[in-house]
Amino acid sequence: MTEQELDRIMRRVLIDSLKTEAEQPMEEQAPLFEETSRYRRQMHAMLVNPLRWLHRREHTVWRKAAQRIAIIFLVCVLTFGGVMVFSPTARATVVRWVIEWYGNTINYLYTGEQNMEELPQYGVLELPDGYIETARDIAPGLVAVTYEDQNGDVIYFDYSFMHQGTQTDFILTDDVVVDVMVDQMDGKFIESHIPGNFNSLTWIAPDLNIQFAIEGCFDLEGLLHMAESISLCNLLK
Amino acid sequence: MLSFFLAVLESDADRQMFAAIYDQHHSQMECVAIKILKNQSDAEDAVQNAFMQVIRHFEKIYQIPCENLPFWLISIVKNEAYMILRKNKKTVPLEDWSAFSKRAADVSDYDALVELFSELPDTYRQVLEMKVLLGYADEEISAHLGISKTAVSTRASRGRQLLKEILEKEGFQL
Repeated sequence: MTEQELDRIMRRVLIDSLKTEAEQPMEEQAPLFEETSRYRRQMHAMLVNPLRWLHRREHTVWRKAAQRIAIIFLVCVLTFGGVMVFSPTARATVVRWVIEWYGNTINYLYTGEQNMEELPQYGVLELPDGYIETARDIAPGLVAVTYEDQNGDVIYFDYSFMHQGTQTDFILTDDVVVDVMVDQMDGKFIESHIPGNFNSLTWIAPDLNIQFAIEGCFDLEGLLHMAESISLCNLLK
Repeated sequence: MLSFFLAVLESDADRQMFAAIYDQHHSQMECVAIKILKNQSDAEDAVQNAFMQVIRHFEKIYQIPCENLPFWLISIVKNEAYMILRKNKKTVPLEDWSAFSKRAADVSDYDALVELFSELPDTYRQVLEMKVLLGYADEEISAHLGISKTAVSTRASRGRQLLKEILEKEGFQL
């Protein structure tokens, strides 16, 4: 028997075992699948443009992983950052951030003094029509806000304190990086040439010791407009 | 790779086909996910992850006979659900292949063979389904299941060997 014949039979056996399983009645204890409105929105977005939805969902998964990494770095800072308090030399040689390029990654590496204060809560005031805030994840030194419209289209707005031991990475695929100014602050516009991919705008506010980033399917003008409308917000609203 | 996706799913015909697949099969996929995970949020994640796989491998849709498509989709969503289950439990159950393979001696007809394969240890079945049914490369399976490429290859060859032995012993003509 050849490998191909064996695989053909294996395929048939596996399909038949799946059929047998599917014919078995549902357990009474199994809960019903009751779709949430978020799931409905996301599936609608998937049907409108499957590729764009895929890129966004991949981006979300990567973003969650990046947030976890950032939190791990912050834990390291809390553990070892005490050295800074007792070392005047270390305090004196503080440099706030460096930008490094590794292959397809732009890496913002912070070396600034640790800030134990709570991050202020910022929001985007000038959102495109139909977008509302749907999630705000607040972690030590990091806030990630999600805005969504009825089609499931998403804008991400993240910001973090520039602490020693933390970093922000932008992974480039087929992107062009352009230096820009956001309210007289240095920033970079990362423009993807892949249709449906997100563009990103990031900038550093040295006075606040915060790096901001907005990502979405918008051009530079659209992202700049949103970036320049960022303001402190009242979460009790 | 990305440009390949674009070539495959950019046309209106492909999108219509994708929408038709969703309309016809999403309910069954959702039932399978909730049955395994018993948690709405995890089940939604499993179904969405399954559709991510469908989009990534959309070119394969055209090679699958229509009558097998529902089971191809069920296989994908089951694998995604078991992955979530495994992540949530943070442990990997022990799988005793030698005890399982001894049951091959009891197989006397095709139905018994199908029943035996429906009770394969989880990772063995996932590897065989992903490799033989879904056509994934070993690297993809390894990354997806979080096991080494050697473990993927071992599971695939053990499964094939077991099937070969049963076929030779019983002389099935399939």
